[in-house]
Amino acid sequence: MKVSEKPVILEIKDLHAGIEGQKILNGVNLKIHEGEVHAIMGRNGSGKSTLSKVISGHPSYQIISGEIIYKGKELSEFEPEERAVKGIFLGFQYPVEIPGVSNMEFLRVATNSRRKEEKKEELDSFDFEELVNEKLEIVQMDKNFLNRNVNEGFSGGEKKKNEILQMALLEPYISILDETDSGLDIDSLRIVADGINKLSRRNTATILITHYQRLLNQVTPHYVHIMNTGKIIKTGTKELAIELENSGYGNIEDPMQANNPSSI
Amino acid sequence: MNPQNTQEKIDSFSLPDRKSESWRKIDIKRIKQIINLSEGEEEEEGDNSNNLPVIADNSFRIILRTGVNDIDINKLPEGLELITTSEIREYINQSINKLDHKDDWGIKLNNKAKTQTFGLRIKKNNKVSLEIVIPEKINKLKAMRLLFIVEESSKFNLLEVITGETYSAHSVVSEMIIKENAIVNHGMIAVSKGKSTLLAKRSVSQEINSNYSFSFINQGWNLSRIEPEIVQLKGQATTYLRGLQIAQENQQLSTFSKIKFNGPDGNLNQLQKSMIENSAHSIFNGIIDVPQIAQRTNAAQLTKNLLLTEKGQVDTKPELRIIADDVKCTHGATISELEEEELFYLQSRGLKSSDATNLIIKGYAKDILDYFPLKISRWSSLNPLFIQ
Repeated sequence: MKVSEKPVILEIKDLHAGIEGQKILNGVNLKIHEGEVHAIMGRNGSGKSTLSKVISGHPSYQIISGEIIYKGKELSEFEPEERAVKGIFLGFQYPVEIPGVSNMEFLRVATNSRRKEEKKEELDSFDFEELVNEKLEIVQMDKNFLNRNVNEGFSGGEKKKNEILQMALLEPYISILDETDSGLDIDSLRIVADGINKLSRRNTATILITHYQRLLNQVTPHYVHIMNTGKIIKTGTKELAIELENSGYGNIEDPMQANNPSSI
Repeated sequence: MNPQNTQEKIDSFSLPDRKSESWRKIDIKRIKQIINLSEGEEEEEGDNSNNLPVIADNSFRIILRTGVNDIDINKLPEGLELITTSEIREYINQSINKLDHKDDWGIKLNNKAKTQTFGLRIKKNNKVSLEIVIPEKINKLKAMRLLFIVEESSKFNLLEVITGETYSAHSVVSEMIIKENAIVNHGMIAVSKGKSTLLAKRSVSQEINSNYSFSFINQGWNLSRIEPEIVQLKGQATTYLRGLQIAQENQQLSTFSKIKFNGPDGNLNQLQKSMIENSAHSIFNGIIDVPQIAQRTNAAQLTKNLLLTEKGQVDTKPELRIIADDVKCTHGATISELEEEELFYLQSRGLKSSDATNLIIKGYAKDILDYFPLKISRWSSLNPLFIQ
């Protein structure tokens, strides 16, 4: 495939990881090239969100073995903020409320951290306002959101749109969107999906973690991966997501398990 | 502390009764240090009140070094009037009886010391914005007695700034009488650099239809004890209390609030927050007294404590005394650590851990600091959090 000839942005090699002594990821392998959209699907508890947290450096999760290589560099020694400024973006399944902190101030500080790393000029509040107004149109959000506290009192849909707004401002190289479609009504889903499509560039990639095919109807993935018990058990194209929607996870077989007599 | 004791020591002054609830948790060693301090002479130079920020728009500033002598009566803005010392004494005697202060240790100390007095009347139907700066007396005890009478239908913005850098102590007792339909927005910045002591009693009586808001920050004292005491004389008034206590190093900071409703249909909204770092100790005790006569009182009290280290100590005690049966009174108290998920969220957007922590703390302080009068960002040299 043409896309696979492009440079690799992220490569995960035999990743084993967990939280508080509980092992959750059991050998994840994944390679993502520039320009690609990957969907990761799987039952609750299969390790999808854990994978996203481990990539973005959540301090509660520990890597037991394996590697995460981002743009040629091993990630495990980098703090979450270092990963972020280098262009790794995690869209949260449950965006966190930060009481008393204005969205505008937060977005400006975050944007400038990223711009500094990219050796771009940091924006003062006037220039930032201009930029943010432009990006607000992508997610069709009202300016009033900027004056409210970060995610405080936002509806589920507003929180998810705020995540996409951040993605638009930070211009990451790889975006990992953890169930960004959950809790969205049809209109909000369309806005969010349009936003993801508009923000995709030749040199960026996206990982969509989702339970449903409905998002994948609007953001077409190059690859669909199925996770089960902490690893990717099957990889296919959009048709795999359709198959899942029709017949559920029960019919998806882990080829490794199927060939292993001890598991019978 | 660096006690310059004996020469002007307050003779034979007994320590507070540690059996009483109000003094049980207080570090008595630090109280002893106050008693051993000498007092500053009235005319004596020696404070740190240089380099003050610009005065807020449409306001007037008084720096209280020696009390009433600091005021040039001809320069007072319209609507403000100086209260004579004898009048102040008369009010003080009345209030000692009315507010049951006879056995109050802090007031006894204030009475025993060479107290400087100062009183202002905000005249009927006027609007006045005033900033009062109370600097320390270097390495000495400074005792002040203040009186404010806010007459009917007047509006009074008051920002008090009390500071201390050396081994000094403040004993500041103030009374405020708020008449019918008057509105008072009172802020107090009480910030030290770790060595000084602050004992501050704030007694307020509210007539009906008055509105009193008291917002304060209590930070950086070796020992502090702030005691807002508000009486709604006949109910039907509104009170807001918002306190922020920032305890660092090995400081012991405390707030003892008491709100009494002496009539029906009174309203109270109280939010007390604290942040505790290192091995500091933060104390809050909040009494709400709703006797039988105070029917239909609507009172809410919430205390939140943010414990930033394992060695920090918090004592928080809401105390609701409700006799009236037709009332709506709520209270809540939380003690929490910095939320890991909040920190991670900000870090995942590129903020360094220290910047993320500062932003969360700034947000935590905001719903107290937002309510101060007279643009406290001017005083950001005392605390950068004031720049919101």
